Amino acid sequence: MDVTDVTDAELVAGALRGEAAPFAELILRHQDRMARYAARMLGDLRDAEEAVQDAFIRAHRALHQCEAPDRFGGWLFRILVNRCRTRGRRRRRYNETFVTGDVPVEPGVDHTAEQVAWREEIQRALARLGPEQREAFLLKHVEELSYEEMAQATGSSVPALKMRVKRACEHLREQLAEVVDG
Amino acid sequence: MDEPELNDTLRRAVEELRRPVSLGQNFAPRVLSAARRRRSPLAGAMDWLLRPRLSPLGGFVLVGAAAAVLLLLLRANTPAIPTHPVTRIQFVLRAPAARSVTIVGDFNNWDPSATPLATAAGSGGIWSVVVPLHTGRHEYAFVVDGRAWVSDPIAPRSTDQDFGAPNSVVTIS
Repeated sequence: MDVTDVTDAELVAGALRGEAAPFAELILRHQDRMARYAARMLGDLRDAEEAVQDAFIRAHRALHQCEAPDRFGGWLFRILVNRCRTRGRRRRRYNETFVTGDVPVEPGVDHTAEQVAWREEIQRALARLGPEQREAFLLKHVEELSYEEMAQATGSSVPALKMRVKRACEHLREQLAEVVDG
Repeated sequence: MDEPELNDTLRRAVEELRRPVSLGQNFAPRVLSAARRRRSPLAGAMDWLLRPRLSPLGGFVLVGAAAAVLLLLLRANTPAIPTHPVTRIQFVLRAPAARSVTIVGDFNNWDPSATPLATAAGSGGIWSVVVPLHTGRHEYAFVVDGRAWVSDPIAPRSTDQDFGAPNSVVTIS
């Protein structure tokens, strides 16, 4: 079995025929990027994993509604953005602190105390942003989506997204400057 | 509007945020197993019946629905559950470098943790397991080290088109 050199659209077609491995390959292809976004957005690895799993399960159920299988990644990301929003809202309703679990780190890599402290400061600064600003900042600067792609993923207008990114950058610059300057 | 927004500090932060986050080796098989799990209509109905409701009428609705279900069950002329003969099938995979091998298929709900294969020292990396299967056609695949989906090299594939069918097939007649 070799599904590594086929397109997403071919994998979607295979999954729609009821085959397991094409969808497994779609998960393997997209899970890292989704995990990164969810972990940065939610600030907790366990929550992120649940959000990503939820997004894949919903995508699997709704695969026949994916109108452009060659852009499966964008369609899937839109589902993930929504799952993260729902999880974020639920958490705020229960008045939980933002950073509740493990701060997401790269596995298998040694981290110095300085790196860990820097990472925690960044996560704290992100946590202080409103969810819409955090979402826009991550999509733009971490996931490197265009504003048009962001508009599709979030359902917001391009001008509104530009404003959110601008504000998020201002806030983060301000907060991280305090850390850097001591 | 893009890059000028990022000063040196923010660029360092973005670099940090772009580092990969891993969900663990078994994430894909677990998700696939959950995604392919089909809920029975009865389980769905039970969920609906047992869901907490705030409305004061909820209790009456619940009792009424339960009574209806009970009547239907009593009136139903339920046929005897057909019994299928079971055949014990041995699945074998040669994977000398593998640390773990499991089998997933419609017979274990595509659960990668349900049916591990065993290997013996000196076997040259031969992994095997015996699975009882009912009569009929079963699709399956091996999962090596919790990540790689491998079809059975000695079994037919589920289809022959496109990129080659990923699942293997065993038919018990």
